[in-house]
Amino acid sequence: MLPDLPQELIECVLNYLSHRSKYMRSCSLVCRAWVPFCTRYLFRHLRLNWSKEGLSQGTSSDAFLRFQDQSPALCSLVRSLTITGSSCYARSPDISLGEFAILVDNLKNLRDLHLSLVIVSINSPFQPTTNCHLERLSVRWLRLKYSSGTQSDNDDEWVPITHPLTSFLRIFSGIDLLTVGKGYTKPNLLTGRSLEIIDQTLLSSEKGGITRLELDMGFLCDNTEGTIALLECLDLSRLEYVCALQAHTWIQAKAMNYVAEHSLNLTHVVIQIPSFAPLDEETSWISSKLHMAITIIPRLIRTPNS
Amino acid sequence: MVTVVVSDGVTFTMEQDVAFQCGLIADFAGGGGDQEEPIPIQAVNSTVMRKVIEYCEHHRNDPPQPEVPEGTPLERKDRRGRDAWDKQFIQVEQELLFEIILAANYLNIKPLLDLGCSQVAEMMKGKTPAEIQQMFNIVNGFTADEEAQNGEGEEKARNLNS
Repeated sequence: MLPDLPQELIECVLNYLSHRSKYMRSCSLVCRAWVPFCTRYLFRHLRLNWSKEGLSQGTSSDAFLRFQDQSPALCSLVRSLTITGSSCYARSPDISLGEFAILVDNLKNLRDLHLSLVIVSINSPFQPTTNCHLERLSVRWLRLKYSSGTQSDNDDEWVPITHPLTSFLRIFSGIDLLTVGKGYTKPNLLTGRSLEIIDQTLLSSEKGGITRLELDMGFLCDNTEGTIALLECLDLSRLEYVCALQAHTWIQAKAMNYVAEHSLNLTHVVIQIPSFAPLDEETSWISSKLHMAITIIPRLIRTPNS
Repeated sequence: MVTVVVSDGVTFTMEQDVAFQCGLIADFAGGGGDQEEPIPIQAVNSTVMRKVIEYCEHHRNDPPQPEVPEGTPLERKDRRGRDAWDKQFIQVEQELLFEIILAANYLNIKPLLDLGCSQVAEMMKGKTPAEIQQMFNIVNGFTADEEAQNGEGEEKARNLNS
């Protein structure tokens, strides 16, 4: 006869399925005892598509707000929210601070916020008369990808404008980890100037500047000088953790070495290497240079030259 | 050497490094040294114990699992790579699989518990709720109203996670 597994072991099994909402949906319908575990993961990470129609009826954002109205208990389970623009090739739609505030107002336990291909604009200013309180936001990890800038006349060039980025970042008072990236197609956010703005903005907040930083290089910066020029814009002495994602190994190696030389607090470095490559010379070189915890993770995307 | 006696009276003698992979036996035997009395393990039968010992013998020379530094944002919850031997080892009838999990939990052998649980999870992938109920021998206990709501809830979850 089949033995019964106690609930703690059932949850141990379900844990291995918790990364896919498809599996959690099936499991949540198996029996009542499995529901609390599954809902916790089903609503842990939500993804919202932002279109130029904004909050109007029938959009994904409208459905998201109705969900918040109907299920306040489920809202408190949301830990991570990704807001994605419609397409990485077309002009990304703006999201105003006011609209942004409405979308996140009920998410009391939101920790990770990921804005991808979306521009937060302050052109339509946030109305303090609404009942939304952005200062209540408890985001600890902010990821910005191809966002929070303003498009210039030249369609190929993205210029981060000081004002919107600074205003937007002031909302977040206690960010532990910042990830910035170029996005897929257009180099915009990851310029020295924007990093400097980010650093200064966060430094002026209660908790101090960035101490944990991830740079998504998107394989676009193909020389060491460019990478180091970016890093020069930050006050590196405070960094405790740094990671350069999607960069060539030798650039990562040189950049990390540069950071190590300039930071007294660095205790942890993450290096990505191509999944098809063995630990190569550069990686062993990094290990010999840096006397600290190095996590090496496989890079799943091939470099353009490989 | 460490000797244990299991629920159906069979005794097993194994070397200390094999036996001490079971947290329970390591705790029981305390500071080491040969045990004179066999350690009673009433919650496990001899069929399951044989499998457990086979696992511990194969992994006796494994280095300790490296700890992933806490707060590594790239940390993936995905199960760690299982080697070919582990995969072959855990290909057993479901009843025995569940018994191995219970034994690994009781004896406190974390890697074996993880292996068993990930294998059950593997078997659940792609199954409908009804098939999973059958697999675990579960009567769902949802009322007809709840069943109807489940349909709506599922739709809602699907939309939000699309």
